[in-house]
Amino acid sequence: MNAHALTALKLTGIAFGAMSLGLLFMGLGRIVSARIQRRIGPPFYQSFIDVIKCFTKTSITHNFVMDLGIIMALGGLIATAFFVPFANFSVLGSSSVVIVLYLMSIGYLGMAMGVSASGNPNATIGISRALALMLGYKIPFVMVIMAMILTYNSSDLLTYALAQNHGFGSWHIFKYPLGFIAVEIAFQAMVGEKPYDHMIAPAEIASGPMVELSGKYLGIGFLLHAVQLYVETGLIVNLFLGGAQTWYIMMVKMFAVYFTTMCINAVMARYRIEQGIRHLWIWAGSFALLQLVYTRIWG
Amino acid sequence: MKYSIFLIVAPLAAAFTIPMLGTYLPRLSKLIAALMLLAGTALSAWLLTAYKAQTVIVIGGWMPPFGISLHVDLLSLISVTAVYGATLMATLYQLFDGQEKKPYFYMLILLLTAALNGMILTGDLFNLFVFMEIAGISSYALIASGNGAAGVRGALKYMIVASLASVAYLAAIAIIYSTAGSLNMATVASGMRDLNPVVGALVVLLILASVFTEMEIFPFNSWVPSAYQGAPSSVSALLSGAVTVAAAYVALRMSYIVFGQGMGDIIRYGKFNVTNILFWLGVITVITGQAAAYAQADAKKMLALSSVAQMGIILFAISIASDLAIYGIVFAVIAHSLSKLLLFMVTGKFVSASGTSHWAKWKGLGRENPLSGGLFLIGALGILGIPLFAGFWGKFSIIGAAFKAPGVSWIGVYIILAATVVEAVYFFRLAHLLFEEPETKPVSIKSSIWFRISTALLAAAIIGIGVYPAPIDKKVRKIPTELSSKNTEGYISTAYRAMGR
Amino acid sequence: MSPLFLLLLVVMPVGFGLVSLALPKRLSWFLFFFVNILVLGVVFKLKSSTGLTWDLKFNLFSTGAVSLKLAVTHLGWFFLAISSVATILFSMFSLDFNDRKHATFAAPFWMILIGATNGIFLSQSWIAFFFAWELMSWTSLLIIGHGKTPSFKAGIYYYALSFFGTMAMMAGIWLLYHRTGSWDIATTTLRIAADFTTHRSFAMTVTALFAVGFLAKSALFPFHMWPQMAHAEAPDDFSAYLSGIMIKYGIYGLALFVIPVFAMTPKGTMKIISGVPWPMYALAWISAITSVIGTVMAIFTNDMKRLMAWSTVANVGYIGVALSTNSSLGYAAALFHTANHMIFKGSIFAALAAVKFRTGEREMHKLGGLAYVMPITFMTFLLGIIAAAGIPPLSGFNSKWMIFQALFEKKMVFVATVIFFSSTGAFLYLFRALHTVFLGQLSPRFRHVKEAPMLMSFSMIILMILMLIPGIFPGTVTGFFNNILASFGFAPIKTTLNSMTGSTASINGTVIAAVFGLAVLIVFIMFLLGARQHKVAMMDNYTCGEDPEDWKVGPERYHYGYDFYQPIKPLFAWMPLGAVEKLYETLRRSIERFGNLVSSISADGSRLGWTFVIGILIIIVTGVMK
Repeated sequence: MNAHALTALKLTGIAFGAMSLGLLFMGLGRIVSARIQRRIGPPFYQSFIDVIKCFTKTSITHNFVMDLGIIMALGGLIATAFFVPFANFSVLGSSSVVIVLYLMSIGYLGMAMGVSASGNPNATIGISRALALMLGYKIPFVMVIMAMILTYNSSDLLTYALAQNHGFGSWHIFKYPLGFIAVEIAFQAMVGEKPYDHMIAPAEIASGPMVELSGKYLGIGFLLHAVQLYVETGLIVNLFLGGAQTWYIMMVKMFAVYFTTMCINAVMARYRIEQGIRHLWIWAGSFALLQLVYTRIWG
Repeated sequence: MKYSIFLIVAPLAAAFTIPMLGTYLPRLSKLIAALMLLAGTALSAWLLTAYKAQTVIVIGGWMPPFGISLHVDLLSLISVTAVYGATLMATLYQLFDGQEKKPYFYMLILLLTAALNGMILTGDLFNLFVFMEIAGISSYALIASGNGAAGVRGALKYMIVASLASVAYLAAIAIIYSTAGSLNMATVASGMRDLNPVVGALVVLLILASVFTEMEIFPFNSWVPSAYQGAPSSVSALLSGAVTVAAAYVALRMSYIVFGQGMGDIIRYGKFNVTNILFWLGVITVITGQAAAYAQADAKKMLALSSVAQMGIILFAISIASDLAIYGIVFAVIAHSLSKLLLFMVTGKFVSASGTSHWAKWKGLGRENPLSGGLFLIGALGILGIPLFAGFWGKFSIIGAAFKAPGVSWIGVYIILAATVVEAVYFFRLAHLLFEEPETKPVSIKSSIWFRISTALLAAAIIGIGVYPAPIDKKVRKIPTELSSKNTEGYISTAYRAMGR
Repeated sequence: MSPLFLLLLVVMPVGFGLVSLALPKRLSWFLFFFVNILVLGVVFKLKSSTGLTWDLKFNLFSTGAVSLKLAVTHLGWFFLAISSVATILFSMFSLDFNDRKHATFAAPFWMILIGATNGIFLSQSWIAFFFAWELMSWTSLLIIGHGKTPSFKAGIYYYALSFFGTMAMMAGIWLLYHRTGSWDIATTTLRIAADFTTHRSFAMTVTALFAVGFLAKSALFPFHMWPQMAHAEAPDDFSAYLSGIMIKYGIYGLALFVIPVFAMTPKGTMKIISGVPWPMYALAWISAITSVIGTVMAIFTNDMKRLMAWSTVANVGYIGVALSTNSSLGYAAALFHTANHMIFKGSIFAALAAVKFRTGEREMHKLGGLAYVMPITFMTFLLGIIAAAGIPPLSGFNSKWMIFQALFEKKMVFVATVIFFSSTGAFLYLFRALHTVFLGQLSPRFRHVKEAPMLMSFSMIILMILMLIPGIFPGTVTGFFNNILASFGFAPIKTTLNSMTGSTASINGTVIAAVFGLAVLIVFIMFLLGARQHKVAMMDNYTCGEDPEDWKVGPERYHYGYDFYQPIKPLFAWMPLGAVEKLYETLRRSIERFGNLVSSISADGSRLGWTFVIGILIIIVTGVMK
């Protein structure tokens, strides 16, 4: 019993750690954006303030499904965060990448369900675009992961991270260069930043899913994005950038990924949804396919 | 066994009484006809159960090969029973549920019965011809007794084609007689071997052409759709329930005994391969029959073409000539007879209820009359060869026989299997339409007690044979030995023994 | 246990079905429920009676004994168990569904169908199998048609394809018998597997014939189009059975005969592609294509029942892929997914039937917002689509994970990519279905709709539990597999009550469920600690200050339910979807034209003489041929 309680405590710690890290990144990301656009930008702790403020304001809800959906969404994403190794440390022992990919879907589904239940068609349109986009980026992403599974005969993220701990040259970014390019492009869509921010699409569909969220719901929405950042940058670091032996190196690497994303986001415009998917399939897809074919035949 | 002669003579005699009796006591004459058929059915059934061995019955004291003989074996007894049973059902149907017909109608039926049984039981080729002619003429008249112009048209078409067939057969007989010196089937069988192969091939060609006309094989079956459509439903039932049985029997006899001298290997006359003919014509008939049935909008024509296809399958099975194939043929013929009878009887009711034989107009008739709808479904399942219904054992054996036989039979089987899919579609199409929701309330069908009894009996037989084929199987097992040439129980050996050689 | 119980399992439902033809509708549905209880009872009593055999041998045509053999095998019992559990729930559901207004005549035929199903899973001789198979085919045709014209067109399409497969099977059965002299399924499987070394083309032909039959029944390419027609038209409560159980007959056939044949073929006899014999690789791609077609068609269809039918086609594709890996993991994954699919697809269709029952609306895109008034139905549907999408901690994830593990083991990564595409696409259409019917705006027409009646709700709750349990405790289902695998010569898989081990990883279902629960708890506490929320009306939305009512846009039109993925339609325009359907239609029309041509020969009386002459010519030609 004690072991279980200890694990639960550790997991709770990870949960809050993930959320905080994500919020920190979001704040820093806003500064990066601002500086590129020759502004000053808010302080780095701005997102924390935003979330706390959200939780203290009253909110509206339309029905129980909205509550259920939003809770399920963040719950799912936090559960996913439990499975992403942080600096070679994984509480649960197993961290299969397939679990991570599928568990992330609860986050999506929960949010989709919650905001659709709000009754605003803008939200649903945003969701439909997001789901369509998911079809675009998941395929190249999975192809590259399968290349890695072929090589290591294991789908465990910790294994990948540990394998890259032998110095610079062992990083997968050099062993799977084509794959990394594909994943970088797909990653931009995964995080929902320009040119693939179809889900939010501020000027088009009134923020999409966020349109009916207020108060703590909006707060949870922020946290969703935060944890998503944690999970996804963590994935990239573990897959390609060598994992990390210490927590600060890990944070730095994760932020480096996010930094690149925000830079691209600041200078590009949004694609149309069918353009976006097509580009993902053609560009990310071909690099991923090449990587997969190469690994399958010669790897 | 010697009572088998009554199977032919009795209906013939009764037929002669009807013109006199019919003018004064029409009801009595019709009753006599029905009773005669009932007696015939009973007699043939009794002969079947009491059957011991093949018998040759000499007629008129003249010994064959100069005189005429009847040859009674298991196959002929089964066929005769089937013919009698079918004729009885059809007659009862017309008597109690059909239009009022003059007594001459029943006289024609009796003549037809006598002729068909004569065709089956005889052992002499010219005798066969005579009975074929009698059967033909009665059929023409029966078909023409139907609904006005359609009936006459159908009968005329049949008459034209059948006349050509008769001429062909007669020519064949002439050739045989001039070379073999006798027309007794057994004698001719051995005589055929000594013929010049070209002459032999010519004889085979002519006889086959005429047999195929009766058996509704493509392309000799151009008379079939119009005849079945124009005839009254009971006559259509007779045509597919009784005439096809006799035709199939004659084809079998000709192929195995006369051409082949006993069931066995491929039949050849020089370069002329008779087995090939049977095979390909069977397959072509199946294809054309099923396709044409699928495209039909008229229910009676559809059922007629379905019969054509069944005959094609049977011809195909005849070409395989193995034990398993014979079992299949007998079961298939019996099942087809029963099911088509049921189908025509039920369809006749639908026609009279809705006033049209276009099946698209029959929507919902089954909802209003669930028993009739159910009976149609049972009949359809019987024809299709679905397990637990009578047709299964026949189709099953024929397919098994085809796969066992060497050579290209497998092409034929695959074609037949594919054609069965088409058959299933058009039967279920109609069966379901009967139960669909109609736009207007359909007519309720009135039926007599005899209809219900007969159809119940037929349905029970179809399901009974499907579930428990053993009684028929016991009888059927002896047939191949009787047909083969390789032992003393065969047809030819028995015939020669009777002739005293 | 007496072997007669086996015969009883087949004959009793058929008998009751025939009897209920004469009963009034309501009563027949009670009888249906009762029959299913009996079947379930007998099935569970048979659990430990593997090997119990009932055999009826009789001599027919002196070809040797025709044998009708029923026996309990591990595989057969598994299928019996899952189908009878699912069926009892569906029959409970149907009891309430078929009230005075909605009752159909399906019950008698459904009972006969149950008997046939039991027969299929119990048969150990090909003749018995064929009997049961045919009986199943035509009774299901009658149920699908159920007296309506468009339904029948759908039904006959299904029947034609499946009958074609059945005829192929008949050919295969005879070829098997002639070669081996036996009707017994186990014996013939072994003999054919051995034949691959000596009589290669014969063995291939026989296996191909059976495969065609099973492919047609399980709606794999190129027979993939019948479910969507059949489901859209079948009675609503029957759709659950159709998708859940009937599709699985073909899968059972593949698992019973085709896969073991290739598994038992000695090494080196067949060319291996990516670790599996080449016919299995072909099957993998056929299933993968089926999966993609199913997914893409589902994404763009507007009818919810058709959508779910296409989803079934896609899922059968997954099962086919799993079977084609020719390994214990793959076989187990296929069985697992079969069981899971039965339950989650059944739940989805049950929920849709409940919606139709209460609202009477057939066009699903006119619905919306029903979650707020029918919460139990909504939860069932939600859990159903979560399971269908393969999201932990529900049952669907475990089986999908296993399928991927089987693929990774054989390094079939391209197939895996296609399957993953299909799996991701599933998310699209599943969510769309959820939103269109249950979320969004509630139309004023349906504001007074009540929750589903008691028995329907109760059966849906049990279905929900059945989706959760194999997810959290995979061992409850996987525990049966090692026996089945052993009976076909496969190695056992490592599995415990809580966890499963695959080729590249092992997962623990309980742990995943537990951490998910923990995470949700954390968020829930945060939620409660936040400031309170007001409940507002559904139409009280952010609309840029405008009022939708001004443009006559009420709740009914303010719902994004139609043509959901229209923007991405052009992306799939290059796919030749519908090509096979066009092919079949062309075939059908050619048969009709040919038939008309033949009829025209006989129609005109003036040509009669010519037909005779041509007939003689044909006789001469065929006589001198070859």
